[in-house]
Amino acid sequence: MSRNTIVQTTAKILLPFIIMFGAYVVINGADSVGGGFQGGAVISAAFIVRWIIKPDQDIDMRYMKTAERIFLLALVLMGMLFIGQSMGMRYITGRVWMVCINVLIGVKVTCGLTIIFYRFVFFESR
Amino acid sequence: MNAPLEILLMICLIALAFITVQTQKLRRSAIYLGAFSLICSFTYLTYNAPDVAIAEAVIGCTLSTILLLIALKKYHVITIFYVETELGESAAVKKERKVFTTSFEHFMMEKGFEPQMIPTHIEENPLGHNDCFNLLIEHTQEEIIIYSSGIRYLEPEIKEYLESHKPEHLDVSFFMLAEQSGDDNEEQ
Repeated sequence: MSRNTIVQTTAKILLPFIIMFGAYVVINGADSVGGGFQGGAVISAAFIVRWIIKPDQDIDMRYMKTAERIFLLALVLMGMLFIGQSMGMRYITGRVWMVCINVLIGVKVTCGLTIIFYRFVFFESR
Repeated sequence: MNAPLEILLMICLIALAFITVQTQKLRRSAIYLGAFSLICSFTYLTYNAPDVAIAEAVIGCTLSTILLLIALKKYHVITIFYVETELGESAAVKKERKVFTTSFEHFMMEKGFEPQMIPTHIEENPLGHNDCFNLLIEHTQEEIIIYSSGIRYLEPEIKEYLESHKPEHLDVSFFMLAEQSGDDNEEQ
């Protein structure tokens, strides 16, 4: 993969801002535009930018896969907690709960899309 | 919400969709598809759906465009270095070269590949760069020398094409280079 200095430098500068925007979209998804899925997609775009900066450096796929499964499980447990909440057990309420769900969805979507992308880039070839 | 803007965006959408389908080169088509997604997300904004607009902008415009481009690069883009050596730059020579490169590009496009023709000027031995190019065409006064690297599946067709389409007064020779990833790195 050939390297282009201008693109790489611009990507290096933009990378933290992309992650910041993604985190903003995830956290404020509860009461403004955005949400877990959109923010997660933005953060996974940051991983694509990382691939542009370092095209030949792989990420450890096993940790990503494990993290995705764990967050899926956490998401299901969170939903069950909500059922319990509706039956009268009030541990957490309202906005906090929304932000938690959004963060979980965001991390899960980030892991999923990043796995798809890196799998496609590094393993599918002629 | 805002009627004239909406109509303008809709017209842009139709135009971009049409261009995307009609473009010859697949890479340009992928870029037009990205532009289509961007306009599409603006259209969602005019319909008061900013959530969907963000999702469309990120997924349609960034992720799918980059995935399409990578897929094209993996399977279809053939990078061709066209080395111009010193010779009298008369109009006839230039025209002949132009005819040769254009017809070669058309041949590639008919086969369904994306030719990426780069005119270049390699001073030292070009064979050291064989991870950069798929085809290297050296066009001198007497002959055309073609080196190919990493496109073994395409080589018989290129040979056949060159046999039938070469300029009359030129010799054509064809060399295959070993795969960069293989053990040996020598010319075959």
